[in-house]
Amino acid sequence: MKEAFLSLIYIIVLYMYLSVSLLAAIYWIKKKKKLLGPFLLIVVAIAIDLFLFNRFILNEVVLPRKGIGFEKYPTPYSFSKNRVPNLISDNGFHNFRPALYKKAVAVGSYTIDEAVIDNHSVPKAYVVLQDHFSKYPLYDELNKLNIKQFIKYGMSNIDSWVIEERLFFSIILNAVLDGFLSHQSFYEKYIHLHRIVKNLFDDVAEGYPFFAHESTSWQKKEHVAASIFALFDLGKAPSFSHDDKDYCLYVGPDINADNNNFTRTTPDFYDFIFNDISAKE
Amino acid sequence: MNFKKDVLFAKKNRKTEAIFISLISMLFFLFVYKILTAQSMLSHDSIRWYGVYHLFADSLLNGIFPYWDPFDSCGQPFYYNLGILRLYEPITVGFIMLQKVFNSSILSIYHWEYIIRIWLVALGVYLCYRQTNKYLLSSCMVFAVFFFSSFAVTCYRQNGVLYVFFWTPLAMYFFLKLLKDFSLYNVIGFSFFIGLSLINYQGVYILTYLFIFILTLLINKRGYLISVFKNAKNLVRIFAGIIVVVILALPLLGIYIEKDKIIPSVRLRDKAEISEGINLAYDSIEKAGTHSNIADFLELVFPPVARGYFWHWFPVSGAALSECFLYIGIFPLVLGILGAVKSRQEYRKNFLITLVLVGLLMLGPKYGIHRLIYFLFYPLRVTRHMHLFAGFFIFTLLYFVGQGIDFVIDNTLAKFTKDGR
Repeated sequence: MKEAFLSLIYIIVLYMYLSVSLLAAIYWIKKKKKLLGPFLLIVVAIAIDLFLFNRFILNEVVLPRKGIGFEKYPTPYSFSKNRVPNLISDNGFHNFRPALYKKAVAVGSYTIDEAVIDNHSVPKAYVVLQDHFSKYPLYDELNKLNIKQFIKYGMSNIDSWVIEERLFFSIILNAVLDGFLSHQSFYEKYIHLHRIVKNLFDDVAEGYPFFAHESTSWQKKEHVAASIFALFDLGKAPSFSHDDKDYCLYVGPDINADNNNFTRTTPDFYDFIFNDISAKE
Repeated sequence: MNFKKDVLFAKKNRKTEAIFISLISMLFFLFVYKILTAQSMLSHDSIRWYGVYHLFADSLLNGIFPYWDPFDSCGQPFYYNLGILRLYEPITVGFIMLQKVFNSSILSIYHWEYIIRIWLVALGVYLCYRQTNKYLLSSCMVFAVFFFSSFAVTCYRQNGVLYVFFWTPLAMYFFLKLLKDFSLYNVIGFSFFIGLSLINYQGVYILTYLFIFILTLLINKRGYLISVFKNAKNLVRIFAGIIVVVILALPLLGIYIEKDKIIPSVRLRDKAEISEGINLAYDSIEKAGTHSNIADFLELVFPPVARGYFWHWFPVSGAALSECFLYIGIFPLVLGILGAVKSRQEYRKNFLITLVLVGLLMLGPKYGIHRLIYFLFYPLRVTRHMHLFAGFFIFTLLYFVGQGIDFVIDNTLAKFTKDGR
């Protein structure tokens, strides 16, 4: 209510100021027969209007960057040629999709103890595809793994942790991409991030589902998934209070927090992959 | 120097223009210095998609072209991502190479490039409307207003607005020139920016905008359009332009040929509506797309600082406001309305109709125009977020801002001349 009142005051004052400026400019032109001054008055009024607008809104659209530690550590993901699958050299672009299938099938063959993704050990972490993929091999494979926990990532519940979703998102994403998550002293130095992630896992462990509702593209979701993967990758993700250490990342569709409808496009990407795999097999 | 005559109301003066552009640009860079100096960063979509950029830049800097993305979905082709963030463009590659010079982080390079892209868009707006505005002051004001309008602000958190709109002002610059002079230079210039737009997946937006604008030309430029196609030399030029577009758009066209194998067989499943293949079913767009709201347009008169507090006071239906802001300032809006009413510039009708149609299009399927264009203009079927036309709306609105300032200057000068001053 306070914000609403302040906003109302802001708009009233803005309109009053602009009106006075306009009247003053008209008076100046008519009475003083001057041009430059009135025009500058209007230009200044426009500048103040847009400056205030930008200042108020800017805090909403940019994030603080210092102190998060984005650039302190070298990225662990700097590629070497050995790490990039040599997909293209022989047969060109058309080799992409067969390689993708191969890769995707390979995912299904991982076992719980030896999950390795591009030379990154991913202990006890799996990508589970949406449940309607139960007809596909990967899901069966994962069902055999006695998975106890689905960690559903997302953003809608972030608010309840008094953390803005975008801040969370950016921290996680950039932390992984910029590499500081891999630093051993991470948990000591970045206690705030530790807390966020720990809350995430603890909430899930206590039975609070962590619904996603916003993401509109599979890329974004995968970035989050990759980020959380990286936490596992450390081998010491925030301390988990429960005994069972079989985790599973839920990288399926967003679940609308309001009506539990499956939405968005992500599953269809997998749909495409696995439909094709099934057809080939 | 007579400041009033030579600077304020000059029609065209390259030296003065350069000074004004530099000053306004410096003001803009000063305003975003925290982003440029790594104290602030972009948010929301503008940073969430950063991973794609990071992988691309990191790979190039290590001498590898990233065909493969090992991080997403346990590994997947990266090739398809190139068209999302305009990674094909020389600007991107140039900035990535800058990393070698400045030894900055990739995150910083990403932010620098992003800000420069906004600056380039503003420069394009200036060049485009320099043709239609009579006075230097009008063009400079449009340039400045654009920088500090909602466009840039929206871009800091929603990169889609920037990417779908990016080359539009420069394409329109050449397009307006084409309406005067159908020279090979102008044809190639126009084709170049259309081709650059089509390298990326967002080309549909600029094509839709041009489709609407060209339709409006049937009202008052029919004769010219017909004469263009009656001239054999023009046909050769058009053919040359098509060649340029096709060459530049090859990466996209290559994917388009294989689209049925690449695009998921079921692209979108939302609330029981299913779209198959690259084209979206109309109902899917309606339900799953992101569109503007009537309340968004109220933001034109209420700075979005009040968003979230006032919108529900108004009798508008629908959910929350779109994430694409529309505010351009109160005086600029008044000048825009003045320009729309009083301007006699030859493209006034065209821009006015375009403004209305784009505004209605932004509202999505609720208000009819979207359905009409969806059926008339086939490419629109591949996209579902109509609110991303916000950049086009602001761009069109700024035409009228320039016209409004022209009108005020004309009338003021006329009055002064009448008074013998």
